[in-house]
Amino acid sequence: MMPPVPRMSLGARETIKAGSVAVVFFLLSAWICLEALQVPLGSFRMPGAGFFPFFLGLILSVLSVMLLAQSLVSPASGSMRVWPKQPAVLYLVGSLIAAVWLFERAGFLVAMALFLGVAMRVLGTKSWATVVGGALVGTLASYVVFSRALGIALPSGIVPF
Amino acid sequence: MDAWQSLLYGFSVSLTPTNLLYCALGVVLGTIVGVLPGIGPLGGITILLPTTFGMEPVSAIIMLAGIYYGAMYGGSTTSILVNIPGEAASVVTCLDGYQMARQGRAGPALSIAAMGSYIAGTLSVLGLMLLAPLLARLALKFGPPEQFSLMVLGLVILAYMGTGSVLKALMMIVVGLGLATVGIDHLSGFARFTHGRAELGDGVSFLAVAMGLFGVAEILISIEQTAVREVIKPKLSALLPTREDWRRSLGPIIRGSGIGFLIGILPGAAHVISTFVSYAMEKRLSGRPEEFGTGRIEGVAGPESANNAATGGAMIPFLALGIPSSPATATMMVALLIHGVKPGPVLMEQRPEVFWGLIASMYIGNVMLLILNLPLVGLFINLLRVPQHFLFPGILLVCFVGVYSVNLSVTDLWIMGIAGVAGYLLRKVGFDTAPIVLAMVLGPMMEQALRQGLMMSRGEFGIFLSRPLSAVMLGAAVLLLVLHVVSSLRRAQARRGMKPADALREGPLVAKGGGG
Repeated sequence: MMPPVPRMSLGARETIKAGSVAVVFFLLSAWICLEALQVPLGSFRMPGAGFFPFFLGLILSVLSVMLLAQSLVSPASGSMRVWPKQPAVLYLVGSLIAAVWLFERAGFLVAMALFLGVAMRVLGTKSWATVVGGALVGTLASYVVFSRALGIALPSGIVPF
Repeated sequence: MDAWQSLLYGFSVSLTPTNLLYCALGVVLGTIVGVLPGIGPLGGITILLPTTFGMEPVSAIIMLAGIYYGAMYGGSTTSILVNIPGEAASVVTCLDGYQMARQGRAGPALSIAAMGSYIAGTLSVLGLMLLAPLLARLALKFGPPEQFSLMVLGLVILAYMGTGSVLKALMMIVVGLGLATVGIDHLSGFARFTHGRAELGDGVSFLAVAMGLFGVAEILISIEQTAVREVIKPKLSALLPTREDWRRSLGPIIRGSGIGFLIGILPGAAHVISTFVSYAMEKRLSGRPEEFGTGRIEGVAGPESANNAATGGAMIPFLALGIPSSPATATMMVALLIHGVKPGPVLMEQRPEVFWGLIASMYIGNVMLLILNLPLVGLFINLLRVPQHFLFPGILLVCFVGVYSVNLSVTDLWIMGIAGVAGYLLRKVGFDTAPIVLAMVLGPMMEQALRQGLMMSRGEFGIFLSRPLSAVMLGAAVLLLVLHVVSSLRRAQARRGMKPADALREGPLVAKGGGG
């Protein structure tokens, strides 16, 4: 039986993924050009507000096409895994978004205590007592340092201070 | 004032109790940043930047610079004792440093790394002191075309000397330049990319993007890396190197200092590249190159000296030209701009206390690091035992407060979050995001220089080529790009001639040198 012939590419899927990245950048470059056209481009004698970003968009489009060509011509460098290996990454991003949303609505103390608690839990703290204690101590300590000692105006939100 | 008198004046500034305290704080924080894997000097400077807002400008820059070169010291500790580089510039130190530690010679490895860093740091500060004023005088002759061409050259070198694909680095540079155009155009008053949002009128917050890319994204990436850490405890009684260790290390330290300083001036990942160049040189000069990687002290002395000397070199374009050459110095420049101090050719005359105070503080900081690092190595290494479920939320909390404190704006927090997720995704698909930061700082200057140059010449691009200095710099940038394209094509051709199995063994074309 003939031995299997090794393939140059590590897989069509990897090539598609690499090509998709280039396409995303190409779309970004098109958006930059269109946005730049919303303000006067000016002329070479008198460049306007859109002049520099428009040319940046053009350069990015050329680079994106080169990246696309490279991903089609060259073999992929290995498995390009975009999706997180650990669910903790997704939970942390979710808690980060929630914390930003709550930051001015609920205030620094509430938002950060919740964020620290959730972050500690998703990153592996087993004991609930440690989670609650760590979140409260961490939040209060940072409040004392940043708000009281350094005088940074942090939002109070639903708490009176 | 000549240089020595100016230096004495600098010492009078940096030896005040307040500045001494901030210098000590900076180098200790830098060492901690260097020890902790995942957070490099750039992340450390960015995260701690908001804490300097209440300080005098000279104190702020003294502390931030302390973090910068302190991180180089700290990085060697984890490389030698844990085989995990605290930051990228200490990767090479793992090769021989960890082997020395396994052979019971962690003490001499740590000592030589610290002494080499001290000597290199001091020599590079000396070079900075002598070279920066000369370069500043030259920079006074620069008009908009020269400034534009210099920035183009700097960004091309940044991409060329980076650690990944050149094509991808160029794309990140364009993205960074694009981000810098958001907001009201100061020449015409038109709002760009703001979609009517008043919060974006002043542009995208540099700090929010930098914290997202180097605080949030680093943590998201670090969560996925579960390295097993076997910490080797050094015996403090056996810290001192032998006479033979010194004899073998002195040459590498001096050579590493020179290499690091010169490469540090150039844009790009100077710290990382200088360590590789130094290691390669020591291996080549050694009579026993085959022993490198098995615990040769030259493999520690050279690279550790080089990465420290690079910090002094990197300060030159930033202080003398007002054009930072690395993301870390770009962040320091933003710190100075926030304090109303504009780095550049006239900094020495207008704010001598900042320029000479910083240089003098670097001498003092290097002595502090030497005194602190060896006796406290056991303490610093214990930082690795802080569980990530306490460390990472704490760092993110500091990012939150730091970003919010600048403009008291939740929009900046959203930008930080978006930059964090984007930075994470970009890193996953093989993009180094550091060029974005440098390009964001250079963007406004570059656009202004381009537009002024074109207005000066009534729309003739020839002005950038008709002025000798500008032409040389643009020519060098084009030459670098052409060289890269040619070498990529040659590699591609060579690969096509290979058998499939050989090509697979050889590895991808996307990596450095072949990336576009």
